Amino acid sequence: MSAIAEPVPVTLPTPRRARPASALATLARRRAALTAGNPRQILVPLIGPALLALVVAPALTVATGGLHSGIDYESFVGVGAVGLVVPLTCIFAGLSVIVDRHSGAQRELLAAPVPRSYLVIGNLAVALVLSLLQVGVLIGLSALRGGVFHITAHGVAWFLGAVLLFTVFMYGVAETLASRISKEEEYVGAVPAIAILPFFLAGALFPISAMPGFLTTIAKFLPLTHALALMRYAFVDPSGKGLHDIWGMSNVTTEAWLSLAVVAVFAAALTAISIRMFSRSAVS
Amino acid sequence: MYAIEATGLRKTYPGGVEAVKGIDFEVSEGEVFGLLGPNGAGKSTTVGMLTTTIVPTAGTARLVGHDVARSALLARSVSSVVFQEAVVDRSLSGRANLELHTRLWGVPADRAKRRIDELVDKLGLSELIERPVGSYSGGERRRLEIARALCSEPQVLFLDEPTVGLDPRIRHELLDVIAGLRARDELTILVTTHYLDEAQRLCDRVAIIHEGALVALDSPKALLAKLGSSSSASTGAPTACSRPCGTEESLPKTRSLSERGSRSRSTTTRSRRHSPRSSPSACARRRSRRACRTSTTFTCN
Repeated sequence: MSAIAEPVPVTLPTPRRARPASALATLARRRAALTAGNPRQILVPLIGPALLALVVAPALTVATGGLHSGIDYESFVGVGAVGLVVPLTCIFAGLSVIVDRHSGAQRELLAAPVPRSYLVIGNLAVALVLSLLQVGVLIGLSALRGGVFHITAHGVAWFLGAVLLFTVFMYGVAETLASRISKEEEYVGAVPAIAILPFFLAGALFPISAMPGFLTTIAKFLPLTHALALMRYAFVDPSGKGLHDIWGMSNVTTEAWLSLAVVAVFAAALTAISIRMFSRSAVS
Repeated sequence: MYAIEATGLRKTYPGGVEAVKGIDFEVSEGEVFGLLGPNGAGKSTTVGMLTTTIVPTAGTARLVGHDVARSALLARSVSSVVFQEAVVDRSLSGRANLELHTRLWGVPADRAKRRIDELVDKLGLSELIERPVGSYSGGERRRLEIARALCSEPQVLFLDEPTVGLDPRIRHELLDVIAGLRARDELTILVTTHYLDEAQRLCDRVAIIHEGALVALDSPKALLAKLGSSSSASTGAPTACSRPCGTEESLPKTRSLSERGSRSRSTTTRSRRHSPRSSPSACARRRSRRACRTSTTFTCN
């Protein structure tokens, strides 16, 4: 007889796990519930862009006489304001990742039997819905204020494609920052560089061709420039002047696909980076 | 197969801090196993590695046969954790937190509802469960955390210093709750604590961890016997183990300990029904085997 009592074999259980869609929906529902419980997170990102569309654009139209290119300046800025509302919304969403980490809630999620990429994707899903809602409100307000939008099914598809991909990109930036930065105050300090600076360089308030040459070149590398040019092509500028400023080609459809591809590449890259950064930083 | 199995588990943090220095232990199904040690001993790091929230530097660990590194999802699916700090979403209601947990662990909705209702009732949360968790007291929140961890019907439950920060009355209430969990034979519990009386009350066996190494492992009764009657733990008072609490050989004489030689290793019996507590001869046999394996010595400083 052995000196040590042998353990009775334990039957290997068939572990129960949530289906991927169900796990993702649960994580997204959690984020949505937390976001809904904090209306400031929804309203604050909308205030600045709404003021741009409702106050600044009409005032500049009066003061400067508009763009002199046949494009309605109020609608031009109305779309340009999307370039501010989406980054701000995503930055706020990224902030909630830091809050999760500090409150301890992230530990529960890390101990859950779901892939850690789902935690990023669940948050992204809510950021996408929130961005779409805010963009819808912004365009609606701009239209009510007098902006002229040419809305067609074809245009809506381009517009949605640009908004969704740009939101994915921006959320990737926000999530990556949240993984790298431990303190909320440091994270907030990064907002001007991440959200405001590109807004001024990407042709949100004026065509990029109006800037000095080297800044125009820099602007062509920003995903926001491509996203805004696509959105304007969809609703404001069917001739695709903004796309032509970037690509200088004769076929506007080709230019639109190229710009969509650029935003898609940025979105895919930042999503992959953010998932990797989160997975690495969340566990020690 | 053991419910928990750690072999050479080691964690060295960036900067060279060795939090856990290659520990080995096994916990049988249905056993309540304690990790006892002072702050910074490596208890939470060990739990972190077992729950896949901390990546081991070396060694392996299995939960119900599932490797925590290679099959992390499976390991997580059979376990649950009550963390040292609160991890519930404070702006959500208690019920929403429990439902979130059951969904993430894939508990079917009807079963989850029954299980939540049962736990809410058992843990005295009925009056609170619809309120936002932010309005809970510390003890109420901790009970909710235990309900949360149990509502997915885990096979392995980790309790990481579950009573830390609670006042004495709430602490004793909570210990009653945790002691009640022993009624579930299929549930294996690993509890970390720095209170000797908690370990004595709750655990079938206790491993003493000090500076990342296991320095003793036995039934609470056997460990206390080695401590001698001078220990304040024998009074039943909440005794903070601010120093290592015992060793295999020289425990009554020691004030603090350092380990020389290889790491200690121990093997469990089936469960508390065959536990060292109820079987002194089994304890002696295991001690004998451990001594043969490790030739660990301890010195008084």
